[in-house]
Amino acid sequence: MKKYLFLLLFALTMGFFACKDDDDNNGTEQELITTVVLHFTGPGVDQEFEFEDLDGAGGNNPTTDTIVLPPLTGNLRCHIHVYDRSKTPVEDITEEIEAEADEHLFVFNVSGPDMGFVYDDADSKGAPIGIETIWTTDQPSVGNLRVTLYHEPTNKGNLSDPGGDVDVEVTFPVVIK
Amino acid sequence: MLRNHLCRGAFGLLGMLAAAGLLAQDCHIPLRGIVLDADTNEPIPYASIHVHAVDRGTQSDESGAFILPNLCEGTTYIVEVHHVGCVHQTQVVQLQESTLLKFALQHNQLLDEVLVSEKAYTPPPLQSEATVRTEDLAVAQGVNLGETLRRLPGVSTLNTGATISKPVIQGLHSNRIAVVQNGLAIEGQQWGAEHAPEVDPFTANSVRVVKGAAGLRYGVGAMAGAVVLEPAPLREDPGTGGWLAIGGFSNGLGAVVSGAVDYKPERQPLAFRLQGTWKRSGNLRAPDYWLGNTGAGEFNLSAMSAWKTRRWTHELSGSRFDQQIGILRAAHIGNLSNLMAAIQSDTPRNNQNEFTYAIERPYQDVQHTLGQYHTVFQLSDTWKLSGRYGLQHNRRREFDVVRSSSSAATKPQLAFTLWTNTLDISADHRPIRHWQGGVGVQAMQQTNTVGKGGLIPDYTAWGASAWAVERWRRYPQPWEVEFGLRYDYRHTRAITLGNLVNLDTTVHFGNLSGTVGVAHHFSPYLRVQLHSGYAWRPPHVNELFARGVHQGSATYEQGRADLVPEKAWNNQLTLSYARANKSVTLTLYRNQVQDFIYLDPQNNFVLTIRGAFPAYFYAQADAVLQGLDLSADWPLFAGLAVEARASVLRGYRVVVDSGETARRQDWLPLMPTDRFQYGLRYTFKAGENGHESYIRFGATTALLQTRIPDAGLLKAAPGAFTLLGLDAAHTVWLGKKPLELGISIQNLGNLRYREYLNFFRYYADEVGVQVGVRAKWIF
Repeated sequence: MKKYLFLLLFALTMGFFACKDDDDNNGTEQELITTVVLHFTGPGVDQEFEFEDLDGAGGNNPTTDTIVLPPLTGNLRCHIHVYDRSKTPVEDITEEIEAEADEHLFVFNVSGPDMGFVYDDADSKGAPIGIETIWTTDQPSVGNLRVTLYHEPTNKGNLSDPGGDVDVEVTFPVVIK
Repeated sequence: MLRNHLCRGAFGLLGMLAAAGLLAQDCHIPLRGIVLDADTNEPIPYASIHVHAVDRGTQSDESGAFILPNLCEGTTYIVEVHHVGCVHQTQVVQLQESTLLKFALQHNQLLDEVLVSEKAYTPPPLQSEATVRTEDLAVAQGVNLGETLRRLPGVSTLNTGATISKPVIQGLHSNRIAVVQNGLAIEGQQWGAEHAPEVDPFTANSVRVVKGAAGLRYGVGAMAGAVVLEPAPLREDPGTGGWLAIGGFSNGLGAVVSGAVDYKPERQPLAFRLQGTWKRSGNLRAPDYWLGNTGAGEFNLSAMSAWKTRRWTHELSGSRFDQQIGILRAAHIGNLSNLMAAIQSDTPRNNQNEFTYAIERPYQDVQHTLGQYHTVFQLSDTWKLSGRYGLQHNRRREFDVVRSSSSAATKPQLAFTLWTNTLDISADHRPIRHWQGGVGVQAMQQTNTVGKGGLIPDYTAWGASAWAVERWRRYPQPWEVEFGLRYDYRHTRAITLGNLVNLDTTVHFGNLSGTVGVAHHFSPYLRVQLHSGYAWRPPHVNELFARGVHQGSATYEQGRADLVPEKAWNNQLTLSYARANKSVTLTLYRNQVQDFIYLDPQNNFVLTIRGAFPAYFYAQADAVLQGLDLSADWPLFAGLAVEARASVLRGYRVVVDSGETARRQDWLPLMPTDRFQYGLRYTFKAGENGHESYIRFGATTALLQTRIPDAGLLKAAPGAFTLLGLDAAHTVWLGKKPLELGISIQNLGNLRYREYLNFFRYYADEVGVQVGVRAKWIF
């Protein structure tokens, strides 16, 4: 009896090894962000500026538009779009960011150009997201604008170090003329 | 040791099974054996061994061992073994050179029986080796393979956090060493530094490390050494047996259960074993905080069966390893500025500072399934033929932190599937005119499928090898010599479709490996051996074609398609003394690696949408790794003994700066720090069949690694530290069944420290105090 029980267990174990997992490695998906678009609209301005790296890290270099805005614009609305254009159809990641607004934060760092901004959106806790911002420009000047998207920030109140991971960090050259 | 054996009965011994040698009779072979007390398994010294036919005799030494040289092969001798106060008894032995006799003497006068066993005597190789001691294996088996090995001199671990640990042999790891389980090299995604070997240490009865160029025995994967795990032999006598081990760990509230059942039916030449291990642990704790998302779970099963007839042995075995490992959340970083912020922070960022068993993203999910058939055919008394076919399936999936609303949230971000077929055929012979050895051929086929977005392309590899090894020893001459030669050929076709650059390339490599070893025995206890090995490995697909950001280190890595094979010439000198429970082993080594493949930091950054990443390209240069390994165990008095281990290593490469012709030396990155382990051990009760009661207090001192390359360094090496540890074991007897109990405490002082060879030293401290308790019941 014992012998048959043992042999049965042995056979079952061997059978267990023979069971294969599903080997479908095409089930993988990486969250690739290929494109960041800043869309400025306001009095006399309706322009999109793009940072794009279609083939991901390495390979071909990314392309970056230079943000050219007129001086003394008054209020300009900036809407950010984030896409994965390597996929067909193109995936609009902005929607995912909006869906998880309290887990995302765009931070803008201006160095050089004479311009300023305020956040114009808020998550469920009243903290900024940064998809919508209001900008004003002043005198003609040049410099850079760095846009950083934090995922799962631990402290949205500290814009210089909100914690979490960086999903996007792109720098646009800026010319106000 | 020198217990008074109050034996009154007669002790004898018994003969061998092997039939008479068919070859010309050789009268220079020794009778070799060991005399043990059958009850306590302790050696019996000063037992007399006498062979009447030649009227010569000898005595067993302090370790119970004896050698009587210059006897004739295949001849039947009447041998007499007796000990003080015992009646002589004569037994018949038919002598074979490669046989070691074990005389287990019963000194109980009521049980006047003699247990004798015979095993094929395989002389220890001339290459430097270290075996994990039974008690160290019991302590670390419940943790992982890396932890099991790190008490050996010359062996360290390369860690990714507290949960992923890879063995490093004399400074080299991953694709440069092989992990061999039950005769088959484990084929996983070894190329990744964060891919731990897929092995359950509970399947092994003995774990040893072969140091230096071991390509001759274990193939191109073993350029710098091999970790060899061997299961306990299957049952020889009918019945059922086995063991059950349970363990608990205070840090991470971990639990492990492992057990095995062996069965051999009556009157049938069959034997079976089933074995399984289950493991679960939660977040670990450093002295000051929890390490968020460091839980792990494991469920492994293995089965073995054997069918033995007079000339044939068939073995069928299978194993399955299934593991989920959480990866410290704080180590997940998006880009270089994230990494810099993490480095500057003393406490882990984004840390989930609480205990939980839950394993969240990022985590790894790994399965390894292995099946093998092994057969041995005894052609003659001298020759045997062996065949081994192995089929392995390795699946690794890595789940990264993603937006939970995205379509990636239900999927892994990286997936690898590796199928490997191996076939080995060899012919081995027992000593023929003092030469012992064998020849063999091997074939291998491997297919690696990588999901879209992986760092490496898909590939299919084909390999073929042929080898021969011979060794000479003629008693009583003190010299021993070994030679070996091997040729390996590898053909790899790499294909990528998808979002990487399209690729369809075939590369092939072939090269010779060789080994020469000489040993001189000054006495049965003291020997010196010199070993020189030449081994190589083809560049791996990741080194040739990798392209992408390595998230853990925030570096952009790129392969080079024109890399040539790495060739290692390893020379080692080993001096070893072993007598009774005293032992000292010193190994000096120098490993010269031609075309050593490494990641070379570039002076530029690769711009991505996550910011700029420093670029590292694979490159080649000649490198040298040299050092010493020392191990010593020395009894002091009354059960007290000292133990010491030391590992010292220097590794550098030869650099020629651009625009210059002068060569200079630059240190190699990620070389183990100099490490010293030392302790005192008190044995309360000497072993009854190896069941010792002891307490051991030990310390490990790791020095600051000051020899680091100039470029590419992100954070200064962590400082020196000394960790204290304590472990104890005791066996209680439940009737005739032993129950081994043990406790081990690591990082006794709850010290805050970081290891240089842990990639997560950027983010968090190592784990704090860990108390492990264990029990093993053998039935």
